[in-house]
Amino acid sequence: MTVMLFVLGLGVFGLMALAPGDIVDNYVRSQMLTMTDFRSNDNALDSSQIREAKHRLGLDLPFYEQYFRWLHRVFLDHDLGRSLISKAPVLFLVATRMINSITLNLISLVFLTLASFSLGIWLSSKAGTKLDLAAAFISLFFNAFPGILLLLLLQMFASVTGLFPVTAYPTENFDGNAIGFGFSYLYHIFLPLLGAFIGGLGGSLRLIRATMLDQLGQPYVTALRSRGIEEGRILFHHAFRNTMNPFITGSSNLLADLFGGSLILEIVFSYPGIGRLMYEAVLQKDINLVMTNIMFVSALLLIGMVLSDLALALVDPRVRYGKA
Amino acid sequence: MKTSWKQLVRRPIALGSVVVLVVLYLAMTFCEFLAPYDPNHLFQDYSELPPNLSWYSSELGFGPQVQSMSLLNEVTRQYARVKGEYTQVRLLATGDKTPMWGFLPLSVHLFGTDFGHDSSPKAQPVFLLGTDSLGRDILSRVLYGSRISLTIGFVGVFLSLFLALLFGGLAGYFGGVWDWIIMRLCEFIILIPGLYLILFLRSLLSDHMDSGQSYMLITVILSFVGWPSTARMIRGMVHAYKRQDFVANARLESMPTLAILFRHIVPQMSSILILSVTLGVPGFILGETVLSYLGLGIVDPAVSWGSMINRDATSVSSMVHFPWLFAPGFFLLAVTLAFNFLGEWLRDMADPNWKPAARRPRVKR
Repeated sequence: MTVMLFVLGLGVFGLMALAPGDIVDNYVRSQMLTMTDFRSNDNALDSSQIREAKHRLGLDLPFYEQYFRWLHRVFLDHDLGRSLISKAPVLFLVATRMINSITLNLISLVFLTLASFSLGIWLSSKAGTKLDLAAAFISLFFNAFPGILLLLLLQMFASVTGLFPVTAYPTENFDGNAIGFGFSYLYHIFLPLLGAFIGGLGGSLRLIRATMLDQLGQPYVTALRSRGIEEGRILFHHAFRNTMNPFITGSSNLLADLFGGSLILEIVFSYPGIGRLMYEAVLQKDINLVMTNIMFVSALLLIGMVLSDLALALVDPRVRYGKA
Repeated sequence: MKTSWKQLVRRPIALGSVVVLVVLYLAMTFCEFLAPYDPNHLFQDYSELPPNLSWYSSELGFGPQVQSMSLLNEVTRQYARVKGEYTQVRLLATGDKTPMWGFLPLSVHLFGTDFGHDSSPKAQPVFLLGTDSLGRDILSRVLYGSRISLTIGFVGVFLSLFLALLFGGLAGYFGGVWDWIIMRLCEFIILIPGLYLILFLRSLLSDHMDSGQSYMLITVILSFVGWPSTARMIRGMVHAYKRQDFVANARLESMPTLAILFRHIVPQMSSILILSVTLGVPGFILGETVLSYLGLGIVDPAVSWGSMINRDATSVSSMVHFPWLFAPGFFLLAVTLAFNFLGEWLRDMADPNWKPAARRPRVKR
């Protein structure tokens, strides 16, 4: 795990080095504009100064050495560095955006899980009816619906009707008026949440319904039924437990999604989340910010995989780790 | 083949999807003829004009025709209909010179008006889906844009499928160290959040590219991100197949490994592979759209659906006042839905054990 993260970081620095020199030059140029002692009177920069600036920032070193310097700084000095563009500490930037992303994604995740499980189980008990057919079609439709289009349409709806704001973040200040802010927040994120909800519901509903139906066709369900166990108990105590397995496996990157934000949603509705931070950082070639972000999200993804493995062992008695 | 055709007819949604896809791909192939104008033809006096085809007027009677519009407001681009001025829309009209497939000289289009001809100075151009802010015909741009948007899916899927078959197949076939290395590589690529990786690669390599290069680059990047999950699936299947007798026989006849892999094992998986192509294509089309939407994909003068959405449908006000600018979005929707419905049907076909739940008896066995 750690090895993978290590290689990943090396890869990021390597890619940065492979790219044409404009990263370094952009960087140097942006640094030059703020470092007064590099700025001569007529704002002209000569090559020796650039070389000097690169040297001072350690950019003339080979990429692996830069990487080790970065590691050294992060792990020994506990300093993630500053954003090269805004000069704000990376930790501060990531932390503030992270809270926004987590709030949004957590709300959508809770609704999504609740709705897809309840609907999935309910519909699987109605298998074969017209209602189930309609639900299957609708969930396939929304599963296939391009997310970006859905969000754009929702935004269009908001701006045509004027019922909802077209941006996802309230303009009020949080201080002093927490309740007002809360309501305003909910009002603002309603549409993006709806978009994420509809988009995600199709997929997970289909998954749960399919596995439930699989389980209900198994001999053990017949055995339970023949013993006169009531249908609700079969659904919830027996079949349901087994549907957890594919759901958890399928959502192993849930944690990373939770923290990684949703890029398109954040851009369409201009929501200040981590996805947009990353997008801007990548575009501006802000290496410190990019590194922190990538490492953070990847680490969370790894942790998410481990957690989902553990959760799998928790709900599925067939899965056990260690001595086989 | 005959049975599958019969089954297709019985599933109206799948049949509809096939029809939609065939029509769109045919339109893409013959877009020089079908599109009324060159995609970069600027009608400067007609920018942000709403769709203007009408079917009846007292002057010309029934039939496709265009009413003249005059600009009321330069800023809000409001147009007023001019009373009594109509232009006939005729089939096979001569218009812009757009060489077919780049080399066959062609100036005849499926439909058009006498606009621009010296003989009829009052004639108006016809815009089935309106025009964008520079006065370019949306329909023509959608048709030409499908050249990129519709092919990128297939090129990308085949590229990533080839990688997945090669690496997944080798890992599954040889096992041992190769298996370990390739699987770790896959996990490594999966580990990086896909969209970030795409963004990252794209922005590293982005500067100063013509449309052909960026088309290739987008395809390669998307398939590079896409292959590992398929490779894992294929590895599992190859793992299962390689113990079967027909593989052992082929090996005894000392066939080369790649031949065994591609000639003997791959055909076994053909139904799954067809399925993953069908379900993979919309993913690539959307990937191109998202990249172009973010401004990292196809840019002017080349045109794709994503770049059209990026250019025209990003600002809220333009979507409200000029809703026809959203047309490429609906083409995109139609294609993704069609591929998904088709894939769903293929899944039913590929897996004989899997019955659609609707037909499954409630209590079985």
